[in-house]
Amino acid sequence: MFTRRKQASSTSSERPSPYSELLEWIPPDRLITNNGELCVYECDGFPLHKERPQAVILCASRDDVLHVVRWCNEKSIPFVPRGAGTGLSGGATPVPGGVVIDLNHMRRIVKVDVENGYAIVEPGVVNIRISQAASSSGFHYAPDPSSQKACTIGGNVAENAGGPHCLKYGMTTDHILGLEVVLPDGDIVRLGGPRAEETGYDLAGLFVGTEGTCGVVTEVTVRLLPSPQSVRTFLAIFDSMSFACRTVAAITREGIEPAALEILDQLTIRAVEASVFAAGYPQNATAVLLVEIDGLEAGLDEQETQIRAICKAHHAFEFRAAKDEADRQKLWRGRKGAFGALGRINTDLYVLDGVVPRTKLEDTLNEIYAIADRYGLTLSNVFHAGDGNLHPNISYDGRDEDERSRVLEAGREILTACVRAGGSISGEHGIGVEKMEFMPLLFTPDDLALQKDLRDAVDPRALSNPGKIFPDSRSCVEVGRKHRVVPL
Amino acid sequence: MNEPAGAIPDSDAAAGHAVDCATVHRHEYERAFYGDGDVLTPESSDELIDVIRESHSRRKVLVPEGAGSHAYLGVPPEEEAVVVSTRKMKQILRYKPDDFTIGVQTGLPLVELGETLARNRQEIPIDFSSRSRGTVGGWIAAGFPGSRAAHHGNLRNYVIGALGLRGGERPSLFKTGGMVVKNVAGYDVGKFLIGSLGTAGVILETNFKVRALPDRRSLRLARFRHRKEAWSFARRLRDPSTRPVLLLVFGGEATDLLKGAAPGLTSRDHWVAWSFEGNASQVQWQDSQVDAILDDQAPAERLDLQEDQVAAMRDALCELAEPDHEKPPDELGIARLGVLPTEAEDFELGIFGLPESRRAAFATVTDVLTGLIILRWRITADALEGLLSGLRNLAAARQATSAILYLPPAVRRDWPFSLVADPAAPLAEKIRRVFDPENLFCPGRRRAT
Repeated sequence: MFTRRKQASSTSSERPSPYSELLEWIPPDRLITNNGELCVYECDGFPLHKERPQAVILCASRDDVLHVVRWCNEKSIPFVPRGAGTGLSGGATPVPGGVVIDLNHMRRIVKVDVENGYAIVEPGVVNIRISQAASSSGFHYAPDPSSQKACTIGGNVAENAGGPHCLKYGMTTDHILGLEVVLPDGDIVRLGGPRAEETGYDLAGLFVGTEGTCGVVTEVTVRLLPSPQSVRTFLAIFDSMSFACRTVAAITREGIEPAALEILDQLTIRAVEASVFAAGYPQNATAVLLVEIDGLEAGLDEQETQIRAICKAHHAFEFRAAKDEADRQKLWRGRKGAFGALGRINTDLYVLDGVVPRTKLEDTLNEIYAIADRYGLTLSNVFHAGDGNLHPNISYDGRDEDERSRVLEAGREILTACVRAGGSISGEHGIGVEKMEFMPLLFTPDDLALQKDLRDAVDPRALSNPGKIFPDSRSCVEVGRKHRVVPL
Repeated sequence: MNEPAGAIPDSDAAAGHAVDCATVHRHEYERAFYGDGDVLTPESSDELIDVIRESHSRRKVLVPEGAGSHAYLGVPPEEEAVVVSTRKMKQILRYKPDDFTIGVQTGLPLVELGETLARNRQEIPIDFSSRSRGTVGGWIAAGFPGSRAAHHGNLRNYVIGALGLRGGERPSLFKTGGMVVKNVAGYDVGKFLIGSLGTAGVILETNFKVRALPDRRSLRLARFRHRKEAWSFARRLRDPSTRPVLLLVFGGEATDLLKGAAPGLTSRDHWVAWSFEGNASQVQWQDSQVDAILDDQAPAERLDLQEDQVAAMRDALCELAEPDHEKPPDELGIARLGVLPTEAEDFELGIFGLPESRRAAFATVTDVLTGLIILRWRITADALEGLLSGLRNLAAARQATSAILYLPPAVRRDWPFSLVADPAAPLAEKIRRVFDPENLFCPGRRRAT
């Protein structure tokens, strides 16, 4: 069971830490309590809100997690699970008085069973490693967030992460067969599994997307899919964003089920082409549409012909087809590196994550550009056009308090516009702290009460990532409080 | 509006709203489980809230239903129950074909949902019988997997939002999700509602994402004299170079149940059924790949179903998991068991190896892609306990999942819904009580052993 270790000092040599009790189970090199190292964990990919944790425990096993959670229960100390910290909504941002349970050392791929179409992995496994482990057998793990080379499956589960290929293959929740979870009270439970028709309630489905508020995932059973026999990737180039959006609608209306449909606007294109992610996108284009189809080679000629015709009919002034895998990777490098490339424009980047019905894409984009103009902000768009998931990106100087304030106001208006269009405030990045205040745009008090009651049923003491998702009185983040920025 | 009567015989009119009752057609098992009384049929969520409030004040057990076509599922309550139906709330609320989403009230007949989508060449690819009398709400609450699940997923992959009503001192409506196909705002409460069998309140509206109907769909069958040959062929079709959306093995008694769907399905040998979907080129290519395998394996017979037969076969496969609604035989039982796909052949052998198999007329249809097995039997009452105990032991030994879908009303309360305990059941119950704090919505219906 649990092995008590000889008491030793933590990485802090300055003073005895109140967390040194953990050293009975956790080796000193996996307990961080000194300020210099703790600041690394102050935020995730959402830097507008920061909080320094009291300690960070690098867990390497399920037993480590169990120990820490039970200890937190004993001491009434809140905890925040954290993977790679690539989240964009503050889901892994520490909470006042709390600790961070870092899961990056739990990175074993426990089992790959392609015959039965599943793998069992620990939460710290990097997303892309799952596909790499299965690829030699002709299988892959489908959800592919842009950060897949860094983000971990535990974080993907917490946020119900998406990615460009979820248009055809679905979100993370569609590929999670089972979970092992350390509940906030220190119990451990297995939910779901790889067998067909797990006849209990779909608890695994309910847990995906709870953003760490219902415990810590210590093992994940993921679905593996056969890799497509053939893939074709195209770039359609437009001198109008409207034409690009209408092309998307026309492609899906034909009954074609592309693997991905992504749009980048001109500002994004130019940033990408000036960066290490340059993909050969034409800089005079107002918009480019990346289309990917996959499946049996036998059916792809027909789909390609249809797509070419649709793009032409919607005024694409150029249409390129990737010649080979290297070409394909180059086109995708530009798309997946877009957020990194946008960092060239200014010191800070606020990545929004609204989603609208596909038929509202064009109108909503026009509104978003108008909002940016009104606030005098530099805004670019790169988005999952096929499922209406927009990523308006505002480049700004975070040191300028006035600009920061305008960024937040513009963000509010953009998300409100998405909801008004019949959409939602988050397509794949989660609520975290970033969008908590917007939840009432979507949900009535009764709606939120149910979700909070569900959370309370699992975590009555509010120890597991409290103060996230729901704007309530138990929140550790005051509603409407200006986000505190910690200077570099 | 009519005065309420029958279902709450000792009450006055529900406070605030007079709720219709209806003398509706009740299946025999419904009458056995819930009595022969009227069914409350509110026409709005306000009326429904009043029903819930009234029932809670009198500590009456509530059984939500649509058309009652799945009333046989799960363990009926010991106490007298108030049956409340959403069948009058049946509108299509939101449908934009170009958005590939649809939102409906859950009293909408399933068949109408299917026809509405089909007119726009769309579908939710979870098959249901075209003869179904069921509603969308019952479909969600039952949560049956479809025969194309390995390729297209299940209902959990298509429900993108819902409006429900939970119980408690103050029954209240709650919304989850929305009308967009990607949405991670808040908890995915809809997942808990699917398959909840009415134990998590009442589902009033559901939003779905839909997909385009495939251009072409083939459904073919091959007959083999021996089980091993059939399974050998089926395993070859699991090769990912062909991507069947459906791959089933059946024979014996199951053939009798399916033969009405295809005239050539006469022999009780071992059959393999498979289906491809896609554009013409994709289906044609895959069919040609299978032709090469068929030439190699030389089945005793091949059948290619025509379009109308494909639809009929899909109906028959859906109905296999359900009892004859009008008059199910007294000896009928139906279970659904799940193992890993690579274990399915062996597990099927294990079922036929049970001592009771000699006394029961077993019919199995095994989904080779998912490892799901539908088992039907006809067995006398005195042998039932031995059979179910044997199945339970087999399921436990092989770590199979299990659900008893149908047992005769006379014995239904004697057996749980699942033969194998779910270790997460205590947590599930804690969560369920958020929707049903008074434990009045179908209490015990999903009871596990």
